[in-house]
Amino acid sequence: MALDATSGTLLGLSYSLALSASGSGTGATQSYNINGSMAASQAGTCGTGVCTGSQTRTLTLTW
Amino acid sequence: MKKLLAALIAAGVVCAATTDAANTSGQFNVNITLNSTCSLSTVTALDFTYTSFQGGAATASNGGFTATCTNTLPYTFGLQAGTGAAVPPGAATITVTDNRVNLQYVLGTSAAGGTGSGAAQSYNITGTMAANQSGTCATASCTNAAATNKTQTLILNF
Repeated sequence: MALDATSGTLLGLSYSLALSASGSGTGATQSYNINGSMAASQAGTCGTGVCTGSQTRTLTLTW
Repeated sequence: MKKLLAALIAAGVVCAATTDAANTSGQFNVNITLNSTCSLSTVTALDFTYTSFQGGAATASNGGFTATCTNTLPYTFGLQAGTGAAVPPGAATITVTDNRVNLQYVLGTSAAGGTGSGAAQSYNITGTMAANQSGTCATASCTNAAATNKTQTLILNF
């Protein structure tokens, strides 16, 4: 499994993404997670009380 | 042996190994909600030096502070006399008569406010004390160390 990008910046906030694991097929559904983290002490950019933003990423499963 | 291998290849029995990978992909969103905020540093004490009935107004020294706000977030300052619970937005200036040395002074801020940059931004509390005030002092020199109204409140509105 791979992500098209493991880091990004949104609203002036830098974040990183990582896959929880890779694996081997079992014939049954297997669960994984994409973990996201954001470093402390970032200011961000927001001219009002609350701002929202969204970015689309791609997860590719290769076998 | 070579003849046998050639015959098998010709018959399609032996094929070159392939390592072609297959894949599938899906998209997902990274959503962020950013709550803006501001913080205020401590304010250094303002210092006045005044001589009774002096001919010119006195200006306070010090009074510096910093405001740190989310980038692009606008904010304003307000002042409030005393140490009670802040009642935003506060006033642009406040006038106080010190209850120890009986001198009146006016406090303001070096700017009405600003726009956050994500870093600490520096400002000052300004203070002036009008000329020709008597003051109260039974000795050659007095301070307002014992005054009960010497502490004021700065309000940061955002």
